[in-house]
Amino acid sequence: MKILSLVLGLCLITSFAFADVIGEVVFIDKDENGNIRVWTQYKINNVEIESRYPKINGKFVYCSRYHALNFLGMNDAQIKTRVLQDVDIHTKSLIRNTCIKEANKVIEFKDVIGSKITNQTTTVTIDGKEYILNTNGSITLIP
Amino acid sequence: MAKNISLILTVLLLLFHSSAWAGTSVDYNDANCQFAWLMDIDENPLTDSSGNGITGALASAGNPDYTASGKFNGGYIYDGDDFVYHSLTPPNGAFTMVAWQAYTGSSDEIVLTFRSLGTPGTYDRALYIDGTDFIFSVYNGGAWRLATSTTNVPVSGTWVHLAGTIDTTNGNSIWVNGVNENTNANGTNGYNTYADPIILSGASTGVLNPYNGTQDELSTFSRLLNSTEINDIMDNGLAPAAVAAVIQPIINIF
Repeated sequence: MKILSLVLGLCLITSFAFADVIGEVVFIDKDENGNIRVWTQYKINNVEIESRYPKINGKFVYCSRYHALNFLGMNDAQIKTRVLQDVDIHTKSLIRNTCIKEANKVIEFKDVIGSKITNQTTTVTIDGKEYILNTNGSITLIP
Repeated sequence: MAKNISLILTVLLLLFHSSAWAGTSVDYNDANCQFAWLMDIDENPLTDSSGNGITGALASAGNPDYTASGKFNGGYIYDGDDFVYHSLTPPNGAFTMVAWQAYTGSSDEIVLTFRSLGTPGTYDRALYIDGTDFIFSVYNGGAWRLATSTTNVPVSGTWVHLAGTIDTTNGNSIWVNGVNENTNANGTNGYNTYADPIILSGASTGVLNPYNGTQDELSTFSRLLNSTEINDIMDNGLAPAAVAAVIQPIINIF
């Protein structure tokens, strides 16, 4: 019984914990066009996100690109903030995408299958005028 | 006791046993991808890899010609009288348009745009080249909102990735080779209520001329792609990779 309680407790803990989404800048280089390329590793709940890029230092990475005009007039701290701004945006995008995927799994479509909608007409607006279209081919101008 | 410990450890392993997060790259399977012409095959119409049925009809008078030398696999060569199109309504709000292209022209030439089929002068969300610069323009608030690149058009025939984005808060931006080069704060939406809208590659808009050069990997998204996502598409293409899930326990059992 004690073992069962422990197991159930662990299940609850892992079920309700919020997962951290972390973006860590791991490398900076230049690409073939001379643009600055900032490479970032992303993790969700400490699990690395795979990417299509070659690994850097054994890590899956994604990149953003910049050139000098993106940092015009900025000091070091401002440059860092600017770069991390894009990392921040992508972590939030990952949260959104992951949330949607997980939420999609639990949506119930109660009584949807078998339900019906029936129409015979629809309306369209052309050059500011509204018309009723009927399945019998009639097109009626709405005064 | 040993059995109980073994059971606990097994449960812990199962709880924390997880796959690496695969499939987070942006590609044509994205829910907001409106269409994706990879241009990898000599065909008419071009396949829409997004599955939305927005196939690209090659114009009967002057089709662009297939080439195996696209940016990713195949591409199509336009010589000033070629275009590809399909009916498609530009979305309201946030938006992204992407294209690989190697320009060989010398004037204002359209790469990709939404346009009225019957009224060439009615167009919006246009990625084009004015001979010198790359431009993404949107028609918003009664005026054209141009985001013009700071990078000039390179040597003729050089592959350049272009992206145009609409951020409903910050405006429209032109991205050149993955870099956000310029933003017009007034381009927070585009014009999307004109009749018979089509997505059009290559042909004139009545103002901008038909395209000369090679194009590949054309697509639009009804959302704002961020810097990481635009660079991912640019570097890795619109086709998804076959990324296998990797099982990685994060607890070591001794």
